[in-house]
Amino acid sequence: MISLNSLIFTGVLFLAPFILSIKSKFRNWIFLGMNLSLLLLSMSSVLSAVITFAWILIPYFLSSKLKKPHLLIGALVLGFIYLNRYDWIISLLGIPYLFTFKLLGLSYILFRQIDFILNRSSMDPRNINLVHYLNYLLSFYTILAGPIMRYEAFVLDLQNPQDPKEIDVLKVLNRAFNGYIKVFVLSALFSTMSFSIYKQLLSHFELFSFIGLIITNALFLYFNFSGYCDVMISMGKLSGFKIDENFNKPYLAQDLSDFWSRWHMTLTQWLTNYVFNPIVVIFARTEKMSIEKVQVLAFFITFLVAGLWHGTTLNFLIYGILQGLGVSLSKVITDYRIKRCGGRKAFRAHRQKPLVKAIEITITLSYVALSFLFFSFDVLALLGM
Amino acid sequence: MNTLDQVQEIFRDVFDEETLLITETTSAKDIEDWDSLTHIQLVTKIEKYFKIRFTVSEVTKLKQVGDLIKLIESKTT
Repeated sequence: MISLNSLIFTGVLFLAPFILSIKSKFRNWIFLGMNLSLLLLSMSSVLSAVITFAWILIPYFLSSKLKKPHLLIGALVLGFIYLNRYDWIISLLGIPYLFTFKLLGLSYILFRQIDFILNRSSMDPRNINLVHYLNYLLSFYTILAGPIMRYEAFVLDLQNPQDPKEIDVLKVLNRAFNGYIKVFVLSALFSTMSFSIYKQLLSHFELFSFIGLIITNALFLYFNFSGYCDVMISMGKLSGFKIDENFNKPYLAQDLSDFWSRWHMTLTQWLTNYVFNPIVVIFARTEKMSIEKVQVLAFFITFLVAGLWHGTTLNFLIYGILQGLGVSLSKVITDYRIKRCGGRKAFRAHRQKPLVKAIEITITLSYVALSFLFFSFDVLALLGM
Repeated sequence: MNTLDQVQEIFRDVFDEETLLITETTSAKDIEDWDSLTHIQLVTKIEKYFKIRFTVSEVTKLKQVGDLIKLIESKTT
């Protein structure tokens, strides 16, 4: 688990606050230097580096010339599917792979690029430059696993770093330390447990162990991802960055769309802005369906996309379908319940009753935890497929 | 009816509240049900009513009734 790269990375995390807390016009350049060095360290070959820089730089220069950037975004998405090796799509179409390419964080880079490209024409031109753009895509705090910030918010933050004197260092370090415990102790523990249960299940299926697998896996994912974000958000804060929060007690959500507004919040926000909203607007313009039906459909497509973005195997397709079905169904049920309660206000009050709350949390969490299995394990293999 | 009154009617329809009052400074913080779902309902109803179109970037940035009215007026005149 601990490689030379991750040791270097940890070193950088702890040195960065000293390097980046300077008040100098070179701060952005120093940050860029750190980001590029870490990126180059992770490169496996010269070819990888060439493709990576072409991937990053070409859209930057092209997007300044385009009035309607949709074609460019389409091309990026297709390129992403190819480079990221969606085998079940690529081999279905019979396209050969010409080279091996692996870039950690490519999916996050893609989403940040889309944010930049779609908003470029409406941004203050003074905020657009290559250094900001590269720092935005490659910030070592967020390149691997988010949070996904918006370009304009990122630049605003970059230009107004928080004064180190105003930071409650002990409190921040405490959060970072808890984050490390979550990742290296708790998540590691539940990961080991779930893997051994999975192996056991492969040879002999048993319901009780299966439930154990669901629970340990849900705990593993939560501690791993939220712990990682705790570390990055707090270490970033020490260097003067304000990184968006990504978690808000997700396992206490009362329905699936509530869950997604608490788990990986920045991804949900991105999906809302760039997948869900455009679908709703486009369908609503055709005036063929009621807005409620359009939203149910848009939910399904959005979460299907989210599932596919997370990984390249068929398990992620199933994960996406499960989330899509779950969220759409939950929307239908919520609309029905609002009507039955006689309005939104009454419905909100009804949901605050302890028993209703407990039942809703239990149902939501069970569904989420079950669907998360497809996220971590080859469930198809478990079912003998 | 000025733009604010017309927009207010749409807000009342979406939030299902006959007596809802909005001002230029009203934002999502002031209306409990103004979340991403109702936000996009507002956007589509406003598009239809004023016969205008918003871009993805505009939809994302609309946070306050005042901004919304400015944008509608820039598109209708």
